[in-house]
Amino acid sequence: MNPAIEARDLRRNYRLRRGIWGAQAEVQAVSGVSFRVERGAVLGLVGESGCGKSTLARLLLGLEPPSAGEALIDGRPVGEMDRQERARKIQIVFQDPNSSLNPRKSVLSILTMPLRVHAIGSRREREERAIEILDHVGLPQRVLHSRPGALSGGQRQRVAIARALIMRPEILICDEPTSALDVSVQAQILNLLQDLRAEFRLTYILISHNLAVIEHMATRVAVMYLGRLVEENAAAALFATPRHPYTKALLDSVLTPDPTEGVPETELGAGAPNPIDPPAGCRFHPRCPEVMAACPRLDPPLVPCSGGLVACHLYQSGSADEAERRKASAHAE
Amino acid sequence: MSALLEVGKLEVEIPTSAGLLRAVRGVSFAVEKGEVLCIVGESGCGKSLTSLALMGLLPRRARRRAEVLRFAGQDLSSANRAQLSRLRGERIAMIFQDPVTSLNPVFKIGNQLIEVYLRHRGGSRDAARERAIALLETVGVPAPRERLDSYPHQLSGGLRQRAMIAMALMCEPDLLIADEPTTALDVTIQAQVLALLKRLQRQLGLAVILITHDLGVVARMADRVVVMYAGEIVEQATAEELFARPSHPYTQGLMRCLPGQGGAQRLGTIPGVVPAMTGAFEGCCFAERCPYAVAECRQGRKELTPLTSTHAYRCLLSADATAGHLRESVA
Repeated sequence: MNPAIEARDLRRNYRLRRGIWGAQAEVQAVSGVSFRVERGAVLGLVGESGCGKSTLARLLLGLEPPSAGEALIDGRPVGEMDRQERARKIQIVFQDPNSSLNPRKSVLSILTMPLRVHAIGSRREREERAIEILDHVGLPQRVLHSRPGALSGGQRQRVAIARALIMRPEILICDEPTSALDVSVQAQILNLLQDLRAEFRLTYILISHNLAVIEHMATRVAVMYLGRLVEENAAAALFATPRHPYTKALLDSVLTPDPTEGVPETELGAGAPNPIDPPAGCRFHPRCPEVMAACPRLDPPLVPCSGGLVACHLYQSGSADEAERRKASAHAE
Repeated sequence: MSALLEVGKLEVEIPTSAGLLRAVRGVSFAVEKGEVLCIVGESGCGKSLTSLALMGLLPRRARRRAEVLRFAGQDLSSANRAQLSRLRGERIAMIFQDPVTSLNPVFKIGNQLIEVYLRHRGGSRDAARERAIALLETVGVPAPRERLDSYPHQLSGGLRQRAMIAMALMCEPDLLIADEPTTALDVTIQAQVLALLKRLQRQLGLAVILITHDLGVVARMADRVVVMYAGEIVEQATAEELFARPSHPYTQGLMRCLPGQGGAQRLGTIPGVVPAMTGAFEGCCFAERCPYAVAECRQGRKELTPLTSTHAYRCLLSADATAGHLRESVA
């Protein structure tokens, strides 16, 4: 059976100029990302800002074409589907419901908009579907005629989720769905997402910088760094034994509510990498505490490692040996 | 020894079309020299207004009242504008969540750092420049000499926040107020910036008021904690006490909401919404959302009950009674 969604060597480059008259430069926002998400799974996508998580989401949604590679839903390339078909397969919930909901429209109008665009049902049927979906996301029917401004942050995010689900998609991308919310509201939204997943048999791609949220929700986790996938594994395995030094640094930085522990001192340098001019070899090597001779020269491919995948010279005996040989021969000369 | 900052019965009121908004009510706390006090609570609980009130930076419509508002022996409530602006930036410095909005985009980083120093301390521009370079180095900005000539947009988020911290430290303040300083940053950068704050606090004997909604930050940073809900302090304790024995039902609720603690698949939630802070206040402001609320909760006003000399909470129920419920619901 085909996976619910699959990325095959997805790449997306953006061209930009440095200054008004400057030379053109190319940013590889996503450079060669592959993964498969099985039906009903929750893929947690983590990485620092600018690592390409949101660009990847746009490619999967078909909002822009990849520069190379392809995204497949149910084994069919996203690029071959028309807008209507895509909208019934995959939807997205954004971070900030304040900016993703039109403040001048009523909740009813916001929820029925996708149905109107796709010319589904009569006016009455659309309204019935809106009422039904409101019930699923735990909102009372009376909010139907409210504007987003009259709702609390948590209620607004519920409206955004309802809007995404009214097309009955199979896959839902949640891009930082709770980052703009208070912890008590975050807990409610996460519980709701869990319930909806079971109820509608949804597959999630959950983008979050909050690793506690990822650990709570995800079945598998993919870690991105500067446009690349550096590690992928089942959530439990990844949180128990992170392999890639960047994953380790990420997990070390998590502040669990334990007053006996101090603030972790991560060994990453402060220098954020420049995506226009990514470091040669392994893109993480200038910040890596475990950097070796091979790292600046060779870009490590993803290789299988304890049930998952990791792109690091520490786990690639072959290329590491080769690097050592080169080093030795350089010494001999 | 008297505390560095003493706040007694602070009230902030904002007249609105819906009536008088009593955003901060009867908030009292003290900050000792060299300690980190965390003020934790959710949006709208009055934590940011409390800090702005201390600095005299409230919006114009807002009114501030306090029985005690004293910094290093000086009465802040009677200080005039000139006295206040001398204190601000020199002895009390503040950093905000978003360095993009607190740095001026059209001036170079160096000029902004140097200006603070010249304004409060005077002296030569070269001396101020050297101090700026030294501080940028202290806060971990690579190539500080070159960075002085950068504009804010040329720095990454983490570097901008470091530059903000350097700016706040230019005049060696006694008190640093940090309002959600790491909320906009990536986790790895957040850990670095917090580690830096902690190191500076120890090295310089700096007192820090850290305002945050993140209990993880509280646990790792705080010496003492004030938990605010709907404009009031509902619990205050040392960090160890708060996490070992959260006693107010709201504090307990917050801790149950945290994901990533393993075990239960469903997270605890706090049902309902924060009450409107206008009109008359009768009873406990958390009663509507509290799982243990009884009839008495809706009458009168409960003062903070001390549990130990450093731990107090505002609830009718005994701390052990609510903690017992907590254990049951987790089990």
